[in-house]
Amino acid sequence: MEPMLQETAARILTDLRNDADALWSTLEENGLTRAWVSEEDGGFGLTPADGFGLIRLAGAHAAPVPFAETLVATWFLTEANLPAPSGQMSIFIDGVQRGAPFGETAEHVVRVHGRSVSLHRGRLNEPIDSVGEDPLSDASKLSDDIIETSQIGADIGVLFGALARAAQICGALDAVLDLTISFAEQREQFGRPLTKFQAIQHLLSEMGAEAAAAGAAIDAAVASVRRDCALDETAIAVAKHRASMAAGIVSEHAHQVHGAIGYTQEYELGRFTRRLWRWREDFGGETFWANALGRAALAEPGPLWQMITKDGGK
Amino acid sequence: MSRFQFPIAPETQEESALRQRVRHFLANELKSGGFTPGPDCWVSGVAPDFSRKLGEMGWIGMTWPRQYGGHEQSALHRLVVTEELLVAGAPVAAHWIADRQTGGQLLKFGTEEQKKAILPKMALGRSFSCIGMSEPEAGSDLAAVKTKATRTSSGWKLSGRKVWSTVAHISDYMIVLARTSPAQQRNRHIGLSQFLVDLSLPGVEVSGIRDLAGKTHFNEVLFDDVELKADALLGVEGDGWAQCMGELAMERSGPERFLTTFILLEKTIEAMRDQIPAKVLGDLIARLVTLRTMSRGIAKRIHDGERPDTEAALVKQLGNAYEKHLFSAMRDVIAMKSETEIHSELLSLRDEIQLRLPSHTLRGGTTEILRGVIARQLGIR
Ligand SMILES: Cc1cc2nc3c(=O)[nH]c(=O)nc-3n(C[C@H](O)[C@H](O)[C@H](O)COP(=O)(O)OP(=O)(O)OC[C@H]3O[C@@H](n4cnc5c(N)ncnc54)[C@H](O)[C@@H]3O)c2cc1C
Repeated sequence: MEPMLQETAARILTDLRNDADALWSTLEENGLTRAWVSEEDGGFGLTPADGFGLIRLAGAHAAPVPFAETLVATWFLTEANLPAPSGQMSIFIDGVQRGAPFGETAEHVVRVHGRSVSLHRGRLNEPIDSVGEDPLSDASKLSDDIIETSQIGADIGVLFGALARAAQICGALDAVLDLTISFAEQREQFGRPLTKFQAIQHLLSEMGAEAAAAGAAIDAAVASVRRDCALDETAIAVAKHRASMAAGIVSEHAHQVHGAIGYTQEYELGRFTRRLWRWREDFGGETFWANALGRAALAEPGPLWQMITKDGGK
Repeated sequence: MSRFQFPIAPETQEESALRQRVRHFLANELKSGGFTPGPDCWVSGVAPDFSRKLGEMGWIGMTWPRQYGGHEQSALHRLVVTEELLVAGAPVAAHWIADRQTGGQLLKFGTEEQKKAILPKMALGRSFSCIGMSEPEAGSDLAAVKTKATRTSSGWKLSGRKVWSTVAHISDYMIVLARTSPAQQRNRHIGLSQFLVDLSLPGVEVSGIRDLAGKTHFNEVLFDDVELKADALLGVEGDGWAQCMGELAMERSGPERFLTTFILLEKTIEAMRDQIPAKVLGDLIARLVTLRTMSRGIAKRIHDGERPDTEAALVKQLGNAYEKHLFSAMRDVIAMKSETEIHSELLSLRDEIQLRLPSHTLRGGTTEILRGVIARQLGIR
């Protein structure tokens, strides 16, 4: 991603992380929420990879606003040749999601059903309880109230959503690793910092390995995304599987290293781990995608290796 | 943002074509009885004749300069070939270390004569080599090596004992890590040097050690006042530790850290397709695809002249864990039927892998040591 853009986004996401309203309006004023909208429609026309870079950054800062959702919504709308309204948006993939994230504050919800994409009014006021930090709203009554509707070339809803969540997870994994390392450097017990204990070093190193693997898997998947194209199902399945798996391990170890302080609402860790536990389920967790990958492989008659290396084995 | 870098390097058409050529070659060899597939073939499958055939195909020393018998291809081309060889379970142990490690060290640190004399033979699969790092008292704590080289009027005198030296029994050369001057107080990395030792010299004694399965692929190598010429010193006196560490990215990042048990997965699918839960298979696929992405990224970085040492440790660590996971998953699948209903070949394969599995997380740096390497990169050691 362009360093300037990355820096701007990171600064906004850091400085305003405790003020959702200000955070949102600043992201919007800087045009970041329309990163994927073409320049003629008032956006930045960023590449797929750069947009996912922003989504990853949103995850790394546990942004308490639908930044990722809005970007994904604009992707669906523009792929369907529909204009993207300004303001907060949520996404709802029919038959997959329990509810619409940030449905309460989002002015619009983009609903995807197979290849059909429709824009709906938001402000859904029936909250659903969830493990996550971010609000979730019942979206079952959406269908009555369509503003616009159109079709996209391929059924990409779940895959694209999964990739976006995987990107957020990757950002959050890096953040949790940083947070846990600096905590372990500062916290002393038995007269030395926790980082001096080999058992703690090993937990941290496993967290590092998981974050690295998830990062590599998501980079590969993101590199395969093109406009106006079907998505690479294998690459995305792998990315979401690997990210969701890493989310579980990294969260577990991070809480272990932090001790009781990490188990409080006030301390920062929970902002990340609660989101990780939500995001890993969204658009299919590791088991869902493992099943999909496994079924596809079992349906192919030849050796598995040939399937894995097909088309360069992306 | 991320602490580790794995650039994405999609397979090129040229690489895919090479992959097909290797596959074709291996299929023919298999048909004509040129080899019997086996697991862990880069350590256990010693077959000098087969190595010679690969050398003739141009698949050893692929990245080395032409003037030394190499083929000046990228590390990614080499990766394609090594993947295919491992997946086929081809007997590649004889030349593996020469190709992966010794050749590179010679290119970096060898004299012109050494490079001219040795590398072309290695590239043809006619000369093999091994790694002389570990000793009875120096395993994970490698800086504790006691093997000593002292200067003489004509060169060096080497004495000491190396153990676990894979393929030393068929090797012409070993790169030996030896102490050339005492450690300085607590800094034991000082005073170590690397030597290129001709194993046919008087005073060298190689004896096989049987592994858990009763097979001999690693050895004990004794150096009893072996007289070395001055040019046996590889690189710079006292730089042995750094030179040794420089080999590790190649040693740890390759597909031999995650593809040595793949043959069990393939054979179990072949025999028991209906018994394999999709989730179990998909989980293995996702991990493998990720490991390949990482390994390719490292190959690209090595090709670009970087030193992704910690990334290599990560691949080995995750690769070892993946292989243990693969084994236990396939063992579970096989156990869904009674052993009497299962082809004995599959059971033998399972058992053979069980007997090799404990070594994966020891050789090339143990799990615990690699965790330490990663922790150091995280800045907490
Ligand atoms: C099949 C095979 C092939 C090999 N081939 C070669 C070869 O070709 N050339 C060569 O030089 N060597 C070779 N080796 C040796 C290999 O590198 C060593 O086995 C390895 O470095 C570990 O040393 P060790 O076996 O002495 O175990 P030790 O170092 O004694 O370790 C025993 C246990 O203690 C743990 N441990 C040690 N230190 C620490 C620490 N600081 N913190 C936490 N835990 C620790 C280890 O992780 C391990 O679990 C081979 C080994 C095997 C099994």
